[in-house]
Amino acid sequence: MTPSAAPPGQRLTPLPNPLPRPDDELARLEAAWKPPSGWKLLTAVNNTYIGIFYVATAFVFFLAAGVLALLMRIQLAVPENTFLDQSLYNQLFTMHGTVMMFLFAVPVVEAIGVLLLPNMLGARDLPFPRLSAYAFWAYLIGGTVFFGSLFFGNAPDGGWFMNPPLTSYRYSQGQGADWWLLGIGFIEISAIAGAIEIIVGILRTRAPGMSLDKLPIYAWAMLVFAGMIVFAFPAVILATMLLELERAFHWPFFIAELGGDPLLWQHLFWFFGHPEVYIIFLPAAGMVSLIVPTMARTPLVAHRLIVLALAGTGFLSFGLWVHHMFATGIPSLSLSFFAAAGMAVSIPSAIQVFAWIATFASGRVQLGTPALFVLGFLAVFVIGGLTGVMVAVVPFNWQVHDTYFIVAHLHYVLFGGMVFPLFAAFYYWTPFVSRKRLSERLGRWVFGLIFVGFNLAFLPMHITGLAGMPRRVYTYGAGLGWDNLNMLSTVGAFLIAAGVAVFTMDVLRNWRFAITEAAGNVWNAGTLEWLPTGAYSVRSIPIVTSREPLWDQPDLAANVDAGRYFLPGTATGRRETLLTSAVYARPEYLLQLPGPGWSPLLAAAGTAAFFLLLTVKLVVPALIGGGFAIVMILWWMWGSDPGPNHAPVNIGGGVTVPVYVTGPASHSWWAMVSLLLVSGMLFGSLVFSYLYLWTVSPHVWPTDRDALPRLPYPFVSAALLATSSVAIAYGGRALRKADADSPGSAHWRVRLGLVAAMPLLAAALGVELYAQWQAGFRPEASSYGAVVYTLAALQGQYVLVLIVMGGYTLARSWRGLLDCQRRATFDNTMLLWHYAVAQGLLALLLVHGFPRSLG
Amino acid sequence: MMDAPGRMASKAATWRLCLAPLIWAAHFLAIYAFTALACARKGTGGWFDLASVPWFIGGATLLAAAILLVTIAVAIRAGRRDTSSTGASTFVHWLTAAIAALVLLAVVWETLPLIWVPVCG
Repeated sequence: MTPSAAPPGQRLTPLPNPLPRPDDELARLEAAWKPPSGWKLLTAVNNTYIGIFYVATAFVFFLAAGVLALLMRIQLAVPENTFLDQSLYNQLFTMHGTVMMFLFAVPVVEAIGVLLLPNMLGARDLPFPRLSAYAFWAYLIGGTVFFGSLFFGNAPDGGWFMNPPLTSYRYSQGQGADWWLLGIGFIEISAIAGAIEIIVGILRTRAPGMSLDKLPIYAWAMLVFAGMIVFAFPAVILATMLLELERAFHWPFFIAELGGDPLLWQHLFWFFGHPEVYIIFLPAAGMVSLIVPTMARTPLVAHRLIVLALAGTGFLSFGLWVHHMFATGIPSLSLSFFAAAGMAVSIPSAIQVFAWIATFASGRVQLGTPALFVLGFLAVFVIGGLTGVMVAVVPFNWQVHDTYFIVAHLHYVLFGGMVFPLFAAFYYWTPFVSRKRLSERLGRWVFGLIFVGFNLAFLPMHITGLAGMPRRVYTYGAGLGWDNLNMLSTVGAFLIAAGVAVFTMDVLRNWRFAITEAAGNVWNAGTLEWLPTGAYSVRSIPIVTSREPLWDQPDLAANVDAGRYFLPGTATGRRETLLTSAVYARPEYLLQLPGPGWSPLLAAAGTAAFFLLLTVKLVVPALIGGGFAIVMILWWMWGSDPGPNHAPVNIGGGVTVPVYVTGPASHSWWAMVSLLLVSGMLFGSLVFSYLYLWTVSPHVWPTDRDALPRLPYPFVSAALLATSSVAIAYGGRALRKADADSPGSAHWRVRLGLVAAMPLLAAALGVELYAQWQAGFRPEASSYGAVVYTLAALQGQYVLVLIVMGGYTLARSWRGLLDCQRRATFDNTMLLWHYAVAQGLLALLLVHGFPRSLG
Repeated sequence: MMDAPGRMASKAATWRLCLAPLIWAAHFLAIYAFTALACARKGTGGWFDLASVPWFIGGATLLAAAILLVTIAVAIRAGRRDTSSTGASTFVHWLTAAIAALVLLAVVWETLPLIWVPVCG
């Protein structure tokens, strides 16, 4: 036991709770965590259930997008084939890429995180179970409708990265592009929700003693993954907003003759798109880092260096976005920066590859199916990584740009780097949630078919590309030297499909959902997810003293299951998990968790209705759907700030923790700060867009100061913003004195602050819009007007959200649910409020100050 | 839960851990943006003169390298001075120094093309 696991002033005993345990303790714990059954399964929020639903849904999308690939391969098997026409082919490659990236790859790794992380960290659940459920349902509904567009001949057809001008209103007149922009934009929001959940879960719900140096590599990988989503996804969300604004209202962000620039889309898209590759790869690498030591029966070599590699990849991969734009005429020195960053990022990847090889070399390998897939991954991913360094070399990149060489490279990286580890993970972790493990015999067939099929399909594509075949052509002429290569690729694709079919059969035959009676630790792994579990996760929350606790703490499983560690029952009668400190994992407080409920599903349905009905221009029903979603979210939020409703509880060994905390120590504060980082990145991407458009089109920027709104306007707007922040801060100060038991004036001052702040915030926006309109700027006239009004529109979104949040906080105050102790709701509203004011002030400085600084 | 100086030291260590990636991002964005502007505005006689590109990039790189070297030195010293001798704090100091070293390598490496490659091409 490490001394650092104990809260200051308290000592941890090795086994905090004595035997025998009280008779009804386990029964009460089971009752609190009893999963819903029958059709009420739809109300489940527990991570195990949501995790399984999530993985299964993502796998179905994998199968569906795989079928699209097979259709394309049939079409390309022979020259001048007429199996598919050009229009359908365009929809198929667009949907294949989009579905694989957005509906399979990111969701499936997030899903596995939701499934595994709580058990691996020794938690009972993630800190925001309903958020995971909401993210899942939003993804399921949105993804299904999006995929359905294919059956109505109405799917997007502009390629998975949707470059304008092809995808703007002039050249893509149907609704296909709108499905992509609104459907995918909405699913990205679900990915962000999951990422915030994962960040807070990893940093705050680890078992006591699991300080950062003992955090399993998979959790490190998921932490970096979630951090990357927070920083990368806002750029593409902004891009989709801008393109949809251009399509729907003709605001010219990407139209060159009105001062826009199609390359702005590519910058924003690839600022997300390149990190996206690593967003997909890092969780897979994390899985490999857990599977390899188990298969080699020895601890991972160079644990610390792998953490460095994950963190290094996390930020260096953001310096690669122009990697995808080498053929767009960007200055050669700029290209070199990105080429150099592309080579630099291979260092951390290489560290991991060498560490895995060294671990295999230093252990006694059990060559089960997971090990086979990991070995396959190493071979395929290294080839993909090396061709990646080749395409990072600018002149070579120009040669192979938009050819099948790129198709080969990206599949080696993505299929090799992510799908092989995923199959390893399916075989490895099935015994964790299934009564039976998957078949080793069939597993070898699955591996053989997929590995041979993959290389047969994609190795020749390098040559097809070097021989000049461009990607995305629906057919080609005979005799160009591409015929046999394409036939080989088609045969390979069907071999992969055969492997996936055998795997699906294996799952149908052997996979039987079970928690308590799961097959368990058949691999003799060392991490906590293999502890005996129930619906409540672990019976008692262990004290961790090493990186492979099950290897190094011999009686851990028995003692955990006997209830000898922390919190062997439910202390408050509800679902709960232990919150610990971020670095040292010291027990800090007990978080009460919600049980099953309809609100996440209904809120997700409402959100989906809003975005999807908007796509087909049914504005009023869309608004009704959006309103319904807000009501559902408020319903779920209403019970989520319980206040100190229970005395501090003894979790064992004399350690007493509170059941409610507020401020920077609370999980909700951490989630809100993560959300502010997302918001900051979104705003930063818009500021980048403003400056980028000015760089390429200075002629549409007003150079005459008299053309700009007169100076009093921005000052009035800024003063209103600042005053609204002051009003909220005033309310916050008053709240410190607002006792729960006395309905004194402090409560009225809190309400006064809230009531005053809302119109001030809205008025600031109104003044800004009036000032721009008065000065004669129109959003559809030029890229300048478009970006200026978009800055205001973004602020408008915050005004709307804050008015809802302010009203909600006010309602809680009226109902007596807000006081000096029970103040998490107010604090979160206040954090977002100050952020929105700061963002509004910066936007005013940019819009009114920057053009003046030019003149 | 920690005493005040302990909490301060922990906060400072967390900030130091995040500093190197921030330096990398700032440096990368600065050299990219300056080069792009210099090429877009060449011949217009503004601030973003082509001749100033090497000076700007060189200066930004030296500044970044200096901050990174200090970060590495401070992290190593903090690691040596840390008397709590828990695995976690040693690890955090090590990780801070290692990330800063990786960033230093990346910053220098990404600047090297300046020597060979023409600015606007």
